[in-house]
Amino acid sequence: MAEQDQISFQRGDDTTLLVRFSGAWRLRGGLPSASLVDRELQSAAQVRGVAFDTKELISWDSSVLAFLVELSELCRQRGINMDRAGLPAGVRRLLHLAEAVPEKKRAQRRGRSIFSPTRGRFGHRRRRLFGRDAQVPRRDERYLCSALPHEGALPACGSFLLIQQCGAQALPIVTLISFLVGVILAFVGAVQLKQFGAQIYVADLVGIAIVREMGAMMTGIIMAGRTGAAFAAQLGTMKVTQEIDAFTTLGLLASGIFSAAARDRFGFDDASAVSLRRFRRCAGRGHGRHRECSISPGPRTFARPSMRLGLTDLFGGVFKSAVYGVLVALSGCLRGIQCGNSSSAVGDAATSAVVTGIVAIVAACGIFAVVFYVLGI
Amino acid sequence: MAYGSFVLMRDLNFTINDGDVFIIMGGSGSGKSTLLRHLIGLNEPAQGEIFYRADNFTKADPAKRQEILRRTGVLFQSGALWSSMTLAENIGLALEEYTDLNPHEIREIASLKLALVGLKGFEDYYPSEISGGMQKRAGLSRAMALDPEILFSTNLRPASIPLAHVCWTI
Amino acid sequence: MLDDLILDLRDSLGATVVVVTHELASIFTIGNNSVFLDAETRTITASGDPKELLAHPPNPTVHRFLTRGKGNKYEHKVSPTLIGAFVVGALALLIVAVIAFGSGQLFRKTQEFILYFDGSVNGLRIGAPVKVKGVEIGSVKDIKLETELGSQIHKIPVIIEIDLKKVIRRGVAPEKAMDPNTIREFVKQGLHGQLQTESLVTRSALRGTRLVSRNPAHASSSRRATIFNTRRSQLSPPSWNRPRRPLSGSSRRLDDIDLKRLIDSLTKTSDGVGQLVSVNSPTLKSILQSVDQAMPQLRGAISRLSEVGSYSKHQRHKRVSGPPPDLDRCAERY
Repeated sequence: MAEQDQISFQRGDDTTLLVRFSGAWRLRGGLPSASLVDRELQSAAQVRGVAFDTKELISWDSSVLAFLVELSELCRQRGINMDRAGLPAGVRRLLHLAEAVPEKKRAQRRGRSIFSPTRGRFGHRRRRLFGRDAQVPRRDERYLCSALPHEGALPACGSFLLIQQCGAQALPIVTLISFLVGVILAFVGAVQLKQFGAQIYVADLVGIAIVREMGAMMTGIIMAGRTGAAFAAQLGTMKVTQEIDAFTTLGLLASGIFSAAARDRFGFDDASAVSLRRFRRCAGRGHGRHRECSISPGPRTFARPSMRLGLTDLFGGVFKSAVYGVLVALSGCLRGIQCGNSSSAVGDAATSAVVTGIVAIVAACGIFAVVFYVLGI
Repeated sequence: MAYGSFVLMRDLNFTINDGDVFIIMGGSGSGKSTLLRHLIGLNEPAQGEIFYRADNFTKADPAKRQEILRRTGVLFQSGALWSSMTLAENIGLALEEYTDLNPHEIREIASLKLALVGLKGFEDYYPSEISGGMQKRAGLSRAMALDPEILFSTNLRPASIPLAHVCWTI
Repeated sequence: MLDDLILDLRDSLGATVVVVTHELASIFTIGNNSVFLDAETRTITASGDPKELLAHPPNPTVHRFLTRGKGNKYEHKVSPTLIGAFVVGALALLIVAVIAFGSGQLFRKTQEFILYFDGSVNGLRIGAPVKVKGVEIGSVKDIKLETELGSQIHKIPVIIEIDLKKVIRRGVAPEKAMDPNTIREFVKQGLHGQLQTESLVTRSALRGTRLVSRNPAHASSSRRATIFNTRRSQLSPPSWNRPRRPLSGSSRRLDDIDLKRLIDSLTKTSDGVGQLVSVNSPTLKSILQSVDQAMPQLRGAISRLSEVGSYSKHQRHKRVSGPPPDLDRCAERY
């Protein structure tokens, strides 16, 4: 609606500016800025008061209110008196409400989280990336935001944060556990093989086992516990606090979008995280063997696995890990959305997500074993 | 209203008039919240229709439904604020979706709404940083973001918890 | 106060408010129209202004509701069956584990002995079985190396563990079957231990153990005698098995055979034979030649002998004694 229809100015007597409201003021129609009045005030000198005429105002909502609040601020700055008599009763009351509580002094915020350094930068960048025109991505981002664990200082989040949390931050624990598994395998294998003087083959044993199967599976299971449960718990909590319902009633799309996004990101970075595991494995295996046997392994041991392992094994393992990642994300999101309505239900959802994730991983592992065998990989 | 073949409630006929403060009351387990969910479209009635003025809400297509829902505001128990957005962003989301206001204006209106419920100055706080009562008020302001014709609300005061003493300051 | 806020907003903005609650305070404060949902009849049993309903309740339920607050109850469902089954299952699992991994170890009575080896124990591993005539009665528990300062002598104490249950001695309780005194008797009679290879597949799989100790000085138990009560006793030379026939065929093992000497003698033999049968050997040639020459004479002699023999048969009936005169002469000729 054109601004002229809504508002017009008129000089009453010499010191009063009459602001006339007309038409239907709706938020959707946009807000006229109080700078309009400002201009008027400046052009006419010696204005001591502002009055209102709302006889022609058909309907109004908070837009009027917002305008008046701004205007009132202006008037206060200029020392101009604002006569509210001409305003509708409701407006007057609301205005009174809005001005009643004095501006609260900003209390000390909670301790800065580790993310705060990136706050400004990331925030701006994220907002610029997802412009106003892109409807879906923006919603997508909102859901990602809502779904993530929140530290109190995070701005707009986005997929990169998910990657960071699911991938980079999981690196230590996954490395640790994969390393341990490698060492244990090496130990146990060496003890048994020693009886046949075949200790040298420990390297092969651990190398093949880890690269082909165990690396992906350990990562998958750890992720199921770490991230799958987190997704489920967050979604479950959102369900319990009715945040998801709030989205729905506001007409914003269902969380299917966000699940998809989370899933993709998760699968991707899980795979990349696993590829790093490979090299850890080699170190772990060699180390374990060395400690156990009285003979120094020498370069021969380390070189051994590379003789038997090829790129196929490596990529097979990485592919598997990507699939496991997707499975874990899916099960986490699914169980989260299926969550009940109490806090214990959130716990159940998290448990269920982990169990479902692990079962899915094991099933997938079995299927892969068969498929790879048939394909001769 | 039914869950599958379990009939929760039947023969619910009532009219809510303009300007009413309409209470849906009943003992626990009587299905009040479920009824509310039906009214706002979160559940489907097994049989029957819901009308918003002249519009048949139940039989409307999704677009029409959304339009009807825009005229309503829902205040959920404990506010149901989105936990990773500030209060201003919470309110602003609806405004972003359904109006063409620029960010500055949205921020203005969000501040205004918050001021109306007595939370002036808390625009950049996260829901986890304010008290429960304040969360509820913020939820109210979000419900009122688009100046709805109907405001749905649940349990204005929380139920008493027998095992713990909860002190609410509103 | 939230109620007031809502009212204010309602008044100002002219909105309608629908509240779902059972809080009586709110109901009476702000409500001006209502419906009452009854859980039992599952329908609306009252409607109208709450204050009206309080004053003129249409039915007892409504009256009760409006004059008394209702709280929420939280129900917990504890399933004793599930917990019980879990505990029982855990116990069963524990028992199975103990049986499987213990397999009698827990209640096994063992007796430890020390054997001293002078030579190398290469190939002997901890856990290797101890056998007597093929019967496994224990295992090697530990292997150490003992060295004396200033001397080149190294001794290797090997500690073995004998399962008492495996040794039956008639007339004696199982615990006493292997008691140190008895063993010392045995040792005096020649009990000793020997290392043996169990399998030839991989030479590193030496598993058998027996003691060979040639130094009688160790016979004295002065060094470790004190520990009889606890577990250690000292074994001293010689044999463990008695009486042992070193050449009993079935128990001959490869390292009993002195391979080197065997091979040496075999070589010498074959060398000699080779020399002998070598075509250029003059000795062989001369032997062959003389045999060749002797052959026809031999044939002739044999035929004459048979003539004489048949003649003497005729003569037997006539004369019993004395050799036939022709035969005598033949014999003299040769």
